[in-house]
Amino acid sequence: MRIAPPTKAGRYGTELDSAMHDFERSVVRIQGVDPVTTELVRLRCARIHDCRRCRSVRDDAALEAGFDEALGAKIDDYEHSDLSPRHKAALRLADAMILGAPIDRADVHAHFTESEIAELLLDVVKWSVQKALVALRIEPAPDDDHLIRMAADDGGTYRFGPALTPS
Amino acid sequence: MVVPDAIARMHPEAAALLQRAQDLSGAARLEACRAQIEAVLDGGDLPSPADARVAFAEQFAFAVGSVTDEQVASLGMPDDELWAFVAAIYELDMGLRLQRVAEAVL
Repeated sequence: MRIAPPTKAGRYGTELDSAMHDFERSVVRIQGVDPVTTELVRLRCARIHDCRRCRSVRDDAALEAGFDEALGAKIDDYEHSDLSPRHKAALRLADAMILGAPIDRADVHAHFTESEIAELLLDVVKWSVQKALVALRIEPAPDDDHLIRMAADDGGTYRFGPALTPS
Repeated sequence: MVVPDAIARMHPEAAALLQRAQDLSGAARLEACRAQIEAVLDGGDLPSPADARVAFAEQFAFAVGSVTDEQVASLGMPDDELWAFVAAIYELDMGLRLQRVAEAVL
């Protein structure tokens, strides 16, 4: 870690931290996009940004909706995978945000409504708060040896749960 | 930095909260950092940054996982100031990305 680790759920307790947390929770409460698609986008952000914490957790809602590690393994080379066209479109949209990759407007609109597209863009902004944590390396995995479940409460705050599988 | 209208129209609560965070971050005052991040996003030749803060912003935007201990140390900031600066760079970086992609797809 390059600075002392956060001591509060709201990071360092500044006014900006509180505002960022409020934004993040509000995005989690938007649930127009299915949880598996959201989880694929979240993990794409985690891998590109090298976030140890986000790579090592799995969203409960996505797991219940059918996400598994076989699906997650297809993210890195998704263009050559058998992921659905909808999932590929979501990952291309994520890549436009995090990598500056070109984006085909028609492709995105073929699979998502305008509201869902806006939600996915906000999802990427929300998950990418990890960039600030990664830059200072204050994002340790909650468990070094296992994937950990996480679940959002009604307010949009994520809590870590039990171990899922050996990592 | 302004959250795109299309985002605000469809998800007003989240857009307003993002706008508040961006305003609080002071990202709008980081003009040289903004120009460097935009250069990264444009994909052209990057001006060589003479300022440690601008160099950090460039690395943050280009590949945050490759930020080095030296790049952080060269900022020469105490922890609270450092966190505030890095959070502002996050708001700046993702705010610019959101503007560009929202304009392209919404």
